[in-house]
Amino acid sequence: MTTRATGWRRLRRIHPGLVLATLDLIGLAIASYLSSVELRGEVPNCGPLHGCEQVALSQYSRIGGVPVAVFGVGLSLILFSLAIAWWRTNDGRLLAMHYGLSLLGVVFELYFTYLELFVIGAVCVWCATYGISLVARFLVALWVWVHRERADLALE
Amino acid sequence: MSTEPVRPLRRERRAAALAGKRGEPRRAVRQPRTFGIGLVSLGALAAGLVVVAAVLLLNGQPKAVPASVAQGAAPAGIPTAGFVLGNAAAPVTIDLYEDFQCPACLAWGTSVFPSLTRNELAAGTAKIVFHSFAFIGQESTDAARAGYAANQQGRFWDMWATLYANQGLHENGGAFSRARLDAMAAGLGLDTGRFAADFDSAAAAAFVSEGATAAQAAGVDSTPTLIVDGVRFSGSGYAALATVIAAAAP
Repeated sequence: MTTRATGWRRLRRIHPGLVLATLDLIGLAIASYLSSVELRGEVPNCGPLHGCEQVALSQYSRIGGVPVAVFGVGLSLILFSLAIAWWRTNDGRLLAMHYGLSLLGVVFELYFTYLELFVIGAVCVWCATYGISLVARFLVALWVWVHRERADLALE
Repeated sequence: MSTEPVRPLRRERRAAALAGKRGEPRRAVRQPRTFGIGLVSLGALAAGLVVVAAVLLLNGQPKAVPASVAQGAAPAGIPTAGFVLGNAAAPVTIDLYEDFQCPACLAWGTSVFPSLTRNELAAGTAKIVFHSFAFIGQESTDAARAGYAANQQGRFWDMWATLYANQGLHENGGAFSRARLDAMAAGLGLDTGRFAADFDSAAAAAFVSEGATAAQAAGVDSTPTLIVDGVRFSGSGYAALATVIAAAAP
């Protein structure tokens, strides 16, 4: 019990900005892999899970000729910068921007998941993992914002 | 309904107690404001919807199967003999297992195949032997039958290129309907009566089923699978394949 309590206390001492930055890096790695593969004109490797090929070769994998994954790289880079900047400055506006952008990404992910399930008829496990990381980033930012707001008000 | 006031959060109580100890005047602890997060959420949701709308406008609606069929052709200058593409005496044999509905096969055909044709096949270093492994659905079976029927007229590789030129956005979505396969055969200048008879023959059915059985017996579980001189090629891209072929060549 003591170990668990100490572990939890240690965990709570980690700045949430670093948690967000870690999740952003995971998203960045996935989006970078997908971008590099698609920009080379190849299809991502899903291993035994098929579906990546079909999603990657569908008309929905590109927006205006640019692979969707490239936009994912851009979003993850911006989110990562915001998370690091928030960690260093504690400026709540940076957290708000991270929250807003990750929510925007979640809306797009919902649309893309709908396309995968009901239009393309295949699920790309890489895209799904990126989507999960985005939802996690949104939830962490939401949780932190709500708790910070309460704590700030209590300290007024 | 309770009339008791809302109990403040523990942090709020602690902060209020701390303020009391410092002799600061105690202020009523307000309930957390949520308009900030609400406003940002609304803005992000609106922006998300704008992005989705823009994507819909840029990409357009899902495309239906086009009315006309596209024409493909076997690579010029490369000898063909039945399901073999390249010089029959080439020292290296690439066994190619494909399903005509497989998007990765289409990607391989547009990314790796052209370089392979220009170099190893043109030089006579390697040859490709096609094997049907139709497993995605009825239209895979029908496309494989079309390949068999075209081969009966010595035009398999023209049909191979034509089938990939007409691969649909959705599997079993009508891209390889019987009418379209007949149109592809007509477009290639095949004897359509003979094509139809061969397509419907028991031999065509056997070609498809025996192909799938043989593929599975060879350990093939996905497409495209390439086996270079008996060794499964596990890399990707032309450069890796060229290296394997160079190593296999005497």
